[in-house]
Amino acid sequence: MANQNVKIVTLVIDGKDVSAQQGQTIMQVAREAGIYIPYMCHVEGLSNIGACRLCLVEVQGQRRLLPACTTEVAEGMVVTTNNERLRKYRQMIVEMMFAERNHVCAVCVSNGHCELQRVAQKLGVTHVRMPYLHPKLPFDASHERFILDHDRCILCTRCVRVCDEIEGAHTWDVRGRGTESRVIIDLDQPWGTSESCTGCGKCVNVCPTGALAEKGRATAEMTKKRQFLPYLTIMREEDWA
Amino acid sequence: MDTRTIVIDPVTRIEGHGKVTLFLDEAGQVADAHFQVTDFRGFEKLTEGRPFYEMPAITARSCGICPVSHLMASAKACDQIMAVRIPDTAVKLRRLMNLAQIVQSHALSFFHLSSPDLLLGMDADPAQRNIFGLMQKYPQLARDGIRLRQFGQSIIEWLGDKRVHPTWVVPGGVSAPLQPAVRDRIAAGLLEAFTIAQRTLDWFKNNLEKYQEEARNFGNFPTLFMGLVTPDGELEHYHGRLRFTDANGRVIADALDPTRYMDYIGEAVEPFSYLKSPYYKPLGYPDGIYRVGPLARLNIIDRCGTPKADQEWAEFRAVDRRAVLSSFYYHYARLIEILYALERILQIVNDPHILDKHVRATAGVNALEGIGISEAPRGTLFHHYQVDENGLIRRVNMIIATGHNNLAMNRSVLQVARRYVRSDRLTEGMLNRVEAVIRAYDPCLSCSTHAFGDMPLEVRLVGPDGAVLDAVRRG
Amino acid sequence: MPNTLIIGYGNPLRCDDGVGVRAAERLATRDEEVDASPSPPEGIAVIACHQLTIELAPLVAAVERLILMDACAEGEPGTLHERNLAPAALDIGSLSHHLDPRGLLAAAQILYGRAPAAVLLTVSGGSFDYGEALSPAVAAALPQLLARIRQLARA
Repeated sequence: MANQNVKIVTLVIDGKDVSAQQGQTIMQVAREAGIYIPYMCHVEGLSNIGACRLCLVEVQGQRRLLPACTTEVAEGMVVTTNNERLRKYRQMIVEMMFAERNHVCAVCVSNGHCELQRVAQKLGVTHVRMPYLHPKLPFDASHERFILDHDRCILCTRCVRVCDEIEGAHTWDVRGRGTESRVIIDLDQPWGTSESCTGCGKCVNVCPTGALAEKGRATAEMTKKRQFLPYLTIMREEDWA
Repeated sequence: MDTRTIVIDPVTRIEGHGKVTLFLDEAGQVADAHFQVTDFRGFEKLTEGRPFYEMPAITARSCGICPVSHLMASAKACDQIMAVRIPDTAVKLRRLMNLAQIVQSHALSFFHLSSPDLLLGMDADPAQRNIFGLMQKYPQLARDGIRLRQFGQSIIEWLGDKRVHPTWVVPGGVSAPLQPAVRDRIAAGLLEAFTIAQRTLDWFKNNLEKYQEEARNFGNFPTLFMGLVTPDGELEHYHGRLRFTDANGRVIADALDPTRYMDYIGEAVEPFSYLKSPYYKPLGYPDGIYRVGPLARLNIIDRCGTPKADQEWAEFRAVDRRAVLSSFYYHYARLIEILYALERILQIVNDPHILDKHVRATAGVNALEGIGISEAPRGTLFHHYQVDENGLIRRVNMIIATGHNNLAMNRSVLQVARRYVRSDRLTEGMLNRVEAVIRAYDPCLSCSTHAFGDMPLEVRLVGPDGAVLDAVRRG
Repeated sequence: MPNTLIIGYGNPLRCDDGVGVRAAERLATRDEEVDASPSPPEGIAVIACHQLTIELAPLVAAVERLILMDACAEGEPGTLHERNLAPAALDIGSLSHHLDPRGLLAAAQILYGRAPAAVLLTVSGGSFDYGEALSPAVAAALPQLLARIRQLARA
């Protein structure tokens, strides 16, 4: 698959010299180099939107922090993925995610398999310093096989993108702004009444938390399958003609 | 201190305090007694709108002492919403965990909490009448208590992979089959457990003579008794039908469908307590006072249904010509139930189908209401859920064992207070006995664990004009 | 058989009261990306629990050394205190069934014939409210507590 026209760039990530193809993101290159950058809205195989701000990194010469998932590498770039300032930012972002909705890990179907929980642990988030909003949110159990629990949703929009980009149904979308934002089905209607949903379950499997889950799963029983996504993406991109 | 008002600090509602208020009449005699205890607050409300199948995990957290009991009642209520008959092996495995819970809970109540009173005497120096005094004097008994409780706890831990809040019990059955290694470990521990249970029971019976005074005055009055029995009238903790018997030991209502509990259990509300006072509806309030728990269960049955327990039960019932009425005998009943539970555990681990892999039924919402009932160590536990067509909770009602016994506990405290309070001052012996009679019921005082310190017991003596004459705080 | 037992106790749902439990969890489970220090060496067992219960007595009696971690109400939040403990049969509550540290040692001594050398490390708490969060001062003291525990355990 090597393309001779691809330009190779060299850069430094956390003091390590790495080379990459032009057009790759900092996230991709860091991962290849074995450097972990936390993320939440990013998922391998879908488009990147740089929304969650967890993957912010420092790039020498830039005053602003840049999201690693949407920033392409450039020749001579010097990137710092982890320092005190970044850790503080990331901890605060995770804390805000917890504070915004009702994340009750102890009784959550995704307990122990949750990406939000995992990132919180990795970042050493031991407490939430801002007040919890405790919003009163609905629970959609109208679909035959799946549930939507807004209490656990962090608005990463992975479901929206996988449904649009991979399944091609575009059942999911987002309504409202700020703390009023919510993922919605079709024209903001109960999932069970959706005409466009194919029931494929991709949204459930990419959801990082217990917001989307299979119906009837008891606490900690919801494990998600992610392996399908990169393969599907590659297959779709392949030119079969 | 403002002696005119009795302030019920809201903090006491959330920390699991016990509080006793004694009211004196003009003649200085105890006229009334109120025992107040924390109950489960808010769970009914906060679960509204959640899917029904989350209920076992959520309600189990209403109590750190008996989460397993809540798991049972809750999972059974969910089974009803799914309208499934769960696999037989799943029933046996749930029973196994419930029996282990009874062993550990009864062992805690008897050995750790009550044995200092029993062994060292109500009037012993309070500096000695504690768990250390007991250890010094009866090290074997203390070690037995530790081992027996640990055995029950270990079974729960091995089955549920977690000791306090296991998630293994799920709607439709259990989440994983029994591992052969776990079965073998349980079987290996049974011999020692039997030895301890029998040794303790023999010791208790040999000392019964010493407790005649307590037996006469510790909640010794006629009431009804309620609990689950098998269709054959045997001891039952997981399933079965409800039975009421009277103080004469006569069955007054039998084979009641537990799901129609509202037809025969009323709930009165007393202004002094956050705990509702359930009563047997046909007799009205307060004549319909009844007791639940180990004493009640051994009073309502025709037999236990296991050989060792049946032999002990026959002796137990000979204590009284009618029903065994004194709440002091809750202790005795607990020891017999431990023996019974061990016998049932032995049967279950020897069951040829116990390792079956099919242990969970799946189904959606097939009924909009579910009522799950089981016998917790402290008595009958009801979980009642109503859901919408998608299975989201609309309404929840739970009746907890400590609640059923509320009226009887109040009356027991009053009986003890009348017998031992002599003046406008609270004495040590009086306090000891109030504590001891409350302990006989093993009420669940600590529904929320708190930062440091204890769940204190506070006793107040209130004169006819409402003035607080004396107040003592323990713990 | 371990020769050192580390017990962190407290209520992690009451903010700083859970500092001992948090520390024990950190010692027992290790995420390399968070904490690069080596796992507890062999011969060291770690327990995290809410209270010291009598069930711990046989385990305590079986080791050479006991290290306890808890929160305390006195002192400037985040301050680390350390003291050696001797068995003492103190009853701390007639309706309860947990023990204070010296009581646990006493139980081991009385029932199983021996009590190990014991040290209690406490961190002064700032907040004992409902909540799973450690207050900033106590969170900041956690690494210090862990370092001291490791030092003691290695000694």
